[in-house]
Amino acid sequence: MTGPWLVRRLAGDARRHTGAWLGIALAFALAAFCAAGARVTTHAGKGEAAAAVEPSALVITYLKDDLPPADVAALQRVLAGLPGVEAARLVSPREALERLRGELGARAAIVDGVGPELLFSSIEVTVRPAGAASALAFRLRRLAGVADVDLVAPPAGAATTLPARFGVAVLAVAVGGGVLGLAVVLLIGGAFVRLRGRYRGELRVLAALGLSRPASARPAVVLATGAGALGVAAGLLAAFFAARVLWGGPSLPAREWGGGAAALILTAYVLSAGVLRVRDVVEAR
Amino acid sequence: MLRLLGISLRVAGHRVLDEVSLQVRAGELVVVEGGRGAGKSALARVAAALRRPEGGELWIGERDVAGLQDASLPYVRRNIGFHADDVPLLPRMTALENVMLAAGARGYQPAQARELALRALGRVGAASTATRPPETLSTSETRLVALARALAGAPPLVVLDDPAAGLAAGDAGAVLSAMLGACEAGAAALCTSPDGAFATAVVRAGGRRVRLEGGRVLAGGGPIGIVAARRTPPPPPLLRVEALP
Repeated sequence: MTGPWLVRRLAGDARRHTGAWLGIALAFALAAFCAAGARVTTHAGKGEAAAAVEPSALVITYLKDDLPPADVAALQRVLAGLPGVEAARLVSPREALERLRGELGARAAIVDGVGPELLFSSIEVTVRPAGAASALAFRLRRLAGVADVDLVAPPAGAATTLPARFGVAVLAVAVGGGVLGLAVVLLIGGAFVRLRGRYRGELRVLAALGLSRPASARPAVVLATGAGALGVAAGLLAAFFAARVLWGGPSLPAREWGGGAAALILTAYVLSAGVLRVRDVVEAR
Repeated sequence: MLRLLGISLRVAGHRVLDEVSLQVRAGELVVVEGGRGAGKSALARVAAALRRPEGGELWIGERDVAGLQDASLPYVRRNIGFHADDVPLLPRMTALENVMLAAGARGYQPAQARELALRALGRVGAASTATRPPETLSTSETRLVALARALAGAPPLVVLDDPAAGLAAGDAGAVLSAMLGACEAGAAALCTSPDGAFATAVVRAGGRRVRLEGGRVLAGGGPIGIVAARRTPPPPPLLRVEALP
């Protein structure tokens, strides 16, 4: 029974067993969300760990007063795009003066009457690893519009160990992920057990009417795979947006997303085809 | 059309059918009558290729079905209109859709299947149930719709296990009339019944009665292997096949 009959049976089965299909979609949405979330968290965590182990250095580039604003903006853009540069921030003379007042604290009166024009504008470049900062500073000193370059290195012995919060985060993800993973397995298993129960009697009837095993189970396998695919899509979308909120980006290449989705959809197909093996559910002869 | 030769069957160690031989020709209606535990339902399931016998031959048309592989049996079953209480209607589908499914299994497209289903429902007197799901039908209505499902599409072989059970006289008459209509169209029809009155009605309508007791045919098996009723063990299997007319 293919073509028009298959469409009729798909529509009928979807109507009659809506709960089973929603259950399967939800189970796979959760599975996809957990799998993608765990992968993204691990990936982002590695980045944080690397960041924590490798400290950064600050290269302060003081700019000459006669450097046009357009050139300043262009220099900032170029610096921000260099390898190892995490940030390139423009500090105006006014901001530099306020910062100086803040650092002087009670003795800020010293700079009363001092206008911002007496301070340089600067570009503060954060470089990681710190070892690359000196080479950048050397190159910057040779530029025409640069008055001076200061290198603020990290303190000696800084951060070669992971911060404590990272260890807690890993533990939390591991425990939470394990519990959630178990819940997902139980949810998926339960959804397919329910599917088998729903179809047990029907497959027997269809076999008595003369439908072959594949024809009997085909609509259910198609619907289960489709429900799984929809659930996987929803779960991956949710993980994608959650990753953007938490880590500022998906942090995974597209092929990893695609591969994970394909694996989960294939799992839905294999599970439904296995669960609905007509031979097992038709009365023994 | 249907020939059972020396069919034997055990269920859970208990012999249910013992060297049963029976023939139903095209256009013939045969009722297998017997009491509780006589083996009627088992015989019906064997005849419908839903149960594989331990011994003997099952000929449907020109083919010995008993020796076929499992994967081939659906192609045999779709030419058999079968009804039994343990093959219920599918829930949350209308009666019409249930009957259409059987016609679809027999190769009819949806539009044609719909027409055949409506006709079958009308033949058994259940046309008013077409748009209702089984959950809303009475026991009698459910049985009539299931019978319509077995008859839809004019299958060449019809096997009905106790089709008149629980039906009022009028409905039982409609069922008998539908079976006779199938026979007139050329089908071979085999039904079972514990009800002597129904069996008598079949005989009066031109059918043939076969008596089954303790898994053995007592009388009326047709030209093949007819053995008189006896309380002693049956004759050796060599005698079970006599010359065909």
